[in-house]
Amino acid sequence: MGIQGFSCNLKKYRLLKDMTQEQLANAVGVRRETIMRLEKAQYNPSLKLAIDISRVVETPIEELFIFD
Amino acid sequence: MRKRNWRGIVLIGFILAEFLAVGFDVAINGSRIVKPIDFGSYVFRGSDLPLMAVTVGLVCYVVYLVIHMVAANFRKGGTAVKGVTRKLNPKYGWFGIFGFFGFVGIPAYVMQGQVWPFFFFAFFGFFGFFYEAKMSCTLMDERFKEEQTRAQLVSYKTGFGLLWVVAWFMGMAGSHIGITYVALIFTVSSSLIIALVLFLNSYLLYKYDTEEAE
Repeated sequence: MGIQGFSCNLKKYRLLKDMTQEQLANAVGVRRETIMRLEKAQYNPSLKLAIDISRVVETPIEELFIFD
Repeated sequence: MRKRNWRGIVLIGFILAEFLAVGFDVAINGSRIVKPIDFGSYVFRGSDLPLMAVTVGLVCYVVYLVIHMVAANFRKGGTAVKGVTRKLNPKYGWFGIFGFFGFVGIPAYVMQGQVWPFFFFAFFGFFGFFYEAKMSCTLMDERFKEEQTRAQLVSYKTGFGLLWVVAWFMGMAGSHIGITYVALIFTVSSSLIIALVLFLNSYLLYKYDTEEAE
């Protein structure tokens, strides 16, 4: 179960960029498990990580991470 | 046969020799060394030598094994690479068994009124190395650091909470039960609390890192 009021579209945009979780994790300097948790909305990323991911998948943060 | 197996066999040999030497001391030497020694009036006899020699040998060998293990761990890259958790051999978790030496405190207290052996209970905390070893060479990203902080917070809160209860109880009951019992209860409880905090630190970090990840 994810964090209440938080949803994440990272998987959709990662697949659009044709990247694996491992590749994305290496690109932003975290573990694959962290990306996995992010995609399941089980982890609330720091602003820095959110920006790094946003740059790598070339998608605005607001579209990747949605807070109700 | 591999060198490692020889070390185990030598250790078992020392332990068996220790049992034999204790048996010899009790059966033939009148328990001169096994019983508490009054060093003021002690006079050495040749029959004291077996138990003394075997005990010194066993202690030296255990110290050698520990130093060898630590040195081998460092040689294999045990020192932490920056940003990655240290590499740890799960065998270190077996050091937790030394915690059972804390029970030696019971006869030591009954026979000699000493409480310091109870401190060995703190070694139970080394069982946490089993969990730390599972997290060897893990990239310490922001989620890891967050979970590490959370695990530390919970374990320290638990430890301080228990310490507070013990201190409060001693403050209330200390004057009734006597200073010896206060020392006894404080030594036992603080050693167990140290062990619990050490163990929880590693266990909770592992738990937080692996839970909900399916």
